[in-house]
Amino acid sequence: MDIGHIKNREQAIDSLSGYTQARKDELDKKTLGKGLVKSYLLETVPANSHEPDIELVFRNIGMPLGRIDETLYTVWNTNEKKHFGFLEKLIPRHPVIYTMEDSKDSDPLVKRLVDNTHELDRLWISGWTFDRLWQKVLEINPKYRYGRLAFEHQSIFEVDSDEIDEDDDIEETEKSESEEKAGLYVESRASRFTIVDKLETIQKSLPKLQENYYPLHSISQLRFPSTGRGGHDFYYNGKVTNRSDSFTDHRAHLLYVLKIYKGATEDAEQKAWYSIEKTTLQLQGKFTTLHGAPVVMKFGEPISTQTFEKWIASTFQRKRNRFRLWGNPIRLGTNKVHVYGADRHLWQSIFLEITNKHVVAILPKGTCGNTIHRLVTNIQRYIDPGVDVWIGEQNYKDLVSRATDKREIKYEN
Amino acid sequence: MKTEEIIGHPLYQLNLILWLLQPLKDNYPLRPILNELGYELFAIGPTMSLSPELRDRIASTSVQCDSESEPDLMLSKDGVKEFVIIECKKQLFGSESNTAKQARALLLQTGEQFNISIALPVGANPDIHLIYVSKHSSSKLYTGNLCEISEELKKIGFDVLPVGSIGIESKSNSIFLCDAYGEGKIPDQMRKGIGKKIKVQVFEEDEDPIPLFYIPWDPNVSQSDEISAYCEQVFRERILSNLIIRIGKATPPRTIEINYDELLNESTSSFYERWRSKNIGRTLRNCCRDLINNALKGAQENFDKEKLPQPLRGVSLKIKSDEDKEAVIDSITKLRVDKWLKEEDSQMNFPIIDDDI
Repeated sequence: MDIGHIKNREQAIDSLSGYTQARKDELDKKTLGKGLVKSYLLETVPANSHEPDIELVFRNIGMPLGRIDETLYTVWNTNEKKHFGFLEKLIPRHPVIYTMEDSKDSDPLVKRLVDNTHELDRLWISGWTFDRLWQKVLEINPKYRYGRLAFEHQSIFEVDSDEIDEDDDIEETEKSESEEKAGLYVESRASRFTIVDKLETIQKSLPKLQENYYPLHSISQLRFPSTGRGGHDFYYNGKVTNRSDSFTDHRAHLLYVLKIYKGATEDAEQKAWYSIEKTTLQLQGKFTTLHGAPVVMKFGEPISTQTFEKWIASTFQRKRNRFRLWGNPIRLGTNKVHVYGADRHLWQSIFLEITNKHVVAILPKGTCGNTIHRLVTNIQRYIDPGVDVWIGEQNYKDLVSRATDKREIKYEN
Repeated sequence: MKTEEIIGHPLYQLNLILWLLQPLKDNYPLRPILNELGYELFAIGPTMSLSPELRDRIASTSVQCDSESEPDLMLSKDGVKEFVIIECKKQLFGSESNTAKQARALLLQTGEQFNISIALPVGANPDIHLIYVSKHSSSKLYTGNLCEISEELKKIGFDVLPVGSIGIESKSNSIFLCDAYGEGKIPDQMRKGIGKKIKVQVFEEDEDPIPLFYIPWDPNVSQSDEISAYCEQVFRERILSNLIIRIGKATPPRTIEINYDELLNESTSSFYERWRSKNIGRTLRNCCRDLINNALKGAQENFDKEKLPQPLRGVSLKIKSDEDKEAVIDSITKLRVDKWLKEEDSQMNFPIIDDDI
């Protein structure tokens, strides 16, 4: 769809809304011909750092922005010589890309975009964050509406293979759309599991299922039912597919989730940021003291030495590793290493103790809270779906609930 | 590493105390007993100078006493109602040693002197204790020596702080805090909390009980044992990660400034600023420069290097393309060097005073 002629916000929203309605009609008739509207939720920098010039960031990576108004832009794909979609600075720290491209094209492009700059990251919605968002879905929707939850856990470090597919996150999010087009659904992995049912049915069954089958704590996709027909599918990597008939409703859901995520991230940063600082609280004296609390991620069961070894080697001997970490592990036992390293994507410091029983992380002040979300998301997906996470004495799971309560984030639909 | 060596190392002791002050859920991965008892970290290495009045009084006696001391930690409780000065020690010391001079300066931090040192109102009346932390010993000599030094000061009319010691013991893959030293005196609540001894950490048979170090290195601690090698590695990793962060963040073509003082400061949580003033700045800068040169050796064709203009000390790297940037990152990643703080330099320039940190 050509958006080159669009000159103002009204035209942009009209274009996205009209497109949305047409696709929803096709979806209902099972004749989907074009890609649905997809949104990619991005993250820039911690709140107290200087926010990067978004136009400069996109220009540097070959996707110049065309300004529509102060917060809305078109995104030009220099390689393909066509528009990719729109970018909106929905709230500070969180730009969002809207595109109508097929997932098979848009997912790799957004991945490349994020990989090529340390100033952007995607949202990392962990299983625990989804768990709390799921509670919100139950609170704000009638129980007869249909919900959709997908779970994914891959014990990739238990397999004896050096080949770890770095594009796995793309593969997964594009799957459901292509499956829908093909009119069939294939369970490709034993640990991938999807429930589509009435909210009340899922609500009744899920706790028991999770109790009996641990990987079901690793929620990787959640549908927020729309106020009209269909819903909005949120994926763990910040992608959101609009399967509703309203772009306005889609945007309202993005805003709602972004506000919660931002609040949780800022709370995590406030709690976790470690710094040794000179304080001048006293009248005359200058003292050096330490602030911040460690992030402790405790596994339900110790992982095997083989898995531990594979995990450490895959992470710290590979440039493009799933955890996006850099460092030289200092060995302190068969199943214990210390890493005084860096988040390889954002290029920020992080100190880690990794053992077969836990990960302890110390985040120096300024290191983005998104690093915690990414760690938790990846540990739930690849190591332990039920990992217990605490930032000091604050349970990570409660960050989302606290963020909504403290900031009085309301669902406005 | 031998656990006995680890628990006797002042940097382990200092970092363990810092961990025991952290908020941790379900006593994991350590039991933060000091946090549990309500203690908070007030200061790391606060400088405490004796007042002119006290120095004058000491000068009129034959007592050997430092005029300024920097205890490792100061804890507080209930706001400013209670303070605990903590000093970590590797070994016992006699009344003639340099450490005894420091102990006297700490013992004299009472009443008005203490209030002035940490800027409390002159008339404030907090409870203050001095506690030495060291590896557990069944000998009572350790606390005995401290009490002896304290008694000497009392006899010649000085007010002194109540002093005691807490031992660190390793037994059956567990680390304990011990309070089994009859003569000394530690705060009542701490005594109740610790009892005779309390388990604070459990570790596996084949692992070292070292937690992540908040403070990884100190020039005044002996650099020769195995745990010092760990500290040196941590210091190196922190420099390299700060170096790679600077390069990783740059979008080529870009000139990246590597200021050695800034890098050292970031890598030591700003403690380098203090050490620099003590004449070890030059040695550390040289070691840092050599480490960086080594790290960049594998990618010399991928950047243009220039010295930073005086008075700055460091280099600038001009990196032209993303490929060059990746080559520089690879070169730093591949660096394998254990010993980068040269021993001859450390012996020559680091003022090692007992095991004071």
